[in-house]
Amino acid sequence: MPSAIAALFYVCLLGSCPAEVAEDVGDGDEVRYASAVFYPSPPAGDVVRDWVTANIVYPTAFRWTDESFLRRWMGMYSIYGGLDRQADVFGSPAGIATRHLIEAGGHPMSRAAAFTAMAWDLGLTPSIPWITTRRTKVTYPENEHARAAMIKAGIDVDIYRHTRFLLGTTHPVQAANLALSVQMLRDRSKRLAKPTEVGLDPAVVQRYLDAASLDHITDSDLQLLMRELETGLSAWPAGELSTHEKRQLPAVFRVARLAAAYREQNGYAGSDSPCDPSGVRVSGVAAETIDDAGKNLCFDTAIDRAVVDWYRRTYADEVGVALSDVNLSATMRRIAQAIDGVHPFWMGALSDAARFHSLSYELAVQTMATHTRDAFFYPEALVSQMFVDATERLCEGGAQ
Amino acid sequence: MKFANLFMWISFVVPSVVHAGTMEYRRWDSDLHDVVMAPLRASFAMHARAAADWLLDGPQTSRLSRHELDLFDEQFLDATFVAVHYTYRHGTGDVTRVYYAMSGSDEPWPIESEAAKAHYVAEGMFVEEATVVSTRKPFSEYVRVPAGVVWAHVEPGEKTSIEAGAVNADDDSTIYTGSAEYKAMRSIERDIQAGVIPSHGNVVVFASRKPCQACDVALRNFAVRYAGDMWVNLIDDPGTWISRRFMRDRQAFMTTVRARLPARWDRYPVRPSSPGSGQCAVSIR
Repeated sequence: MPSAIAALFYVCLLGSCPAEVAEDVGDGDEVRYASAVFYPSPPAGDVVRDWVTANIVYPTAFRWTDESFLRRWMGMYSIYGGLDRQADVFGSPAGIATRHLIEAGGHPMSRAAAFTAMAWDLGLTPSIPWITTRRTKVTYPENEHARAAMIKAGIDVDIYRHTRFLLGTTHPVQAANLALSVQMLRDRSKRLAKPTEVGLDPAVVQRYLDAASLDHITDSDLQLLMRELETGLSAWPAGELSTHEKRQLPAVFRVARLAAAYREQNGYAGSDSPCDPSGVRVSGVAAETIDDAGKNLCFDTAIDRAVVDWYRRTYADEVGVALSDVNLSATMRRIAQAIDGVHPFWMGALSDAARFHSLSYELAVQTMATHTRDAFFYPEALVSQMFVDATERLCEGGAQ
Repeated sequence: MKFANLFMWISFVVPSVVHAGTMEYRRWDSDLHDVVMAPLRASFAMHARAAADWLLDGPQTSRLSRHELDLFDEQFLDATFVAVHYTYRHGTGDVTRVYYAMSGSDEPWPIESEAAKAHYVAEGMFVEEATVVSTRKPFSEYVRVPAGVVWAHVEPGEKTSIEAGAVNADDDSTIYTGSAEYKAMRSIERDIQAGVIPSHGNVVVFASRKPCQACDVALRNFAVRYAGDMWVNLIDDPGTWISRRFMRDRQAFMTTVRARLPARWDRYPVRPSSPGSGQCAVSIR
């Protein structure tokens, strides 16, 4: 609703912008938001877009970077870090304007929900089983840790289950890439009345689900799925809801969470489970840092960015090693090569290493600048600065 | 269509006595689901990545000025990009072959020869132009074509029936060899004639701007001779949301090209925020 947004800002710039928006009401989870361990899926609405736009209209001397974003939202960064819910980020003029924009966009939400939504979109939330799986009727996989991760990744059960059937238990990264590509094609096709007229073939999804083995997936279908994955990895979810009616994560987090789901479903030997049944990490068993050799990450409590770090290493161990294995079967080589050929658009002309970076604040800002409908608020000089900042962040190795 | 309220949708059917299928043109001014953006960005990225590798592999890269890099960017910001999905029946399923094309010459402009000459002149040296001409590999060796995709280009001296249609007398005689639409159509025709793919598949074309008259002739002639149904999806005029977005996407991409050059912050349109930065720390293949 760009005209409404523009109108709102014109009113505010003339000095009659109301100081407060409607107070926090409504979603029933308000009290629970105050808890440091409660991370429900925030409601729909593109809060990050509104936040970036509002901070352009009401600039301050304070410079928002990925570091300052992490400090304000989390305090000290940690792979198991919680949100600092005492931080009042919506009390400033830009913060108030953000909430006005959220309302103008038709998605009013409380301050706490908006705070969590930004954390969700930028990879700072965990996947606690009892929270993620509540209010859903999904019962597969039985492993609740895996089920929670699958739901957070926004994958339908039939696609998840069939991909595990095709790839077995030892290829979580490749399974995640394949399953996500099929889900993305299904989701996009549903939104179009005549998808084949714009180059999308929903029959690919059914053929995939009917495939008795990986060899039954044709080269053509495999490549169409990889192009779909590339499209999805390059896209911004804009606060839409997933197939499970949860807030859709950016794809870089979805693929990592999904790989974690497949890993979780394998279980752990003996008493090596890094999380207890309620999703709390087991001290002395769970890895304390991403470099904690020999120990497993407790995916439930780990934030999405940490899961991406795990995914990057697992990708190298699984896909990287596979591609250099001369004894690799032709079937698995075909799958690994297809996945390795996927390049999200935002990595630009940088090396392949850049594609595994987490979504940083700067990259999110760049996405807002390219997607904006309100070009008036995004002048060329400022946009150029945003592009340089995002590129520099990618060059430095991405986000935390 | 379900999404008709989300963007302007204009289509018309092109009558033809020979062509059995339909041919529709659609002009998009918005694209919430990246239906048009995704294939066009992929086409652009394939060409721009190759050009970036080509640029970095050349001589005098460290001497390029911001102005010269602006010229380098310009060819990717001004060009027309096309992606075509050609789908045909094979056995019990459909097979899709994708073609990516960019208007203009296949090889990027050799901007660094100008930079090198200017440098040598400034140094008071006389240099034969031949000494600063690139010693790179052929550009085609830099193009990393994704599996299932064809880099569409025109082979010199090829004969084709596609351009047999009426061409405006005012058109440049080289319009066919530089037209992205024509490159794509000719590449499909080449595959059909070679027996790689059958004729009369369904064709979905994505183009980053309205085709020129001669380019349009290529599309229509191809539809008549080789296509089943054909849909042509065009980015609407400059100034629309989708047009601006495709431009900004390309500008963001070209910023990453500059990051790979030897460090000199003045190559950016604006100075990077990190002092002393300007060279990408990410390893370059």
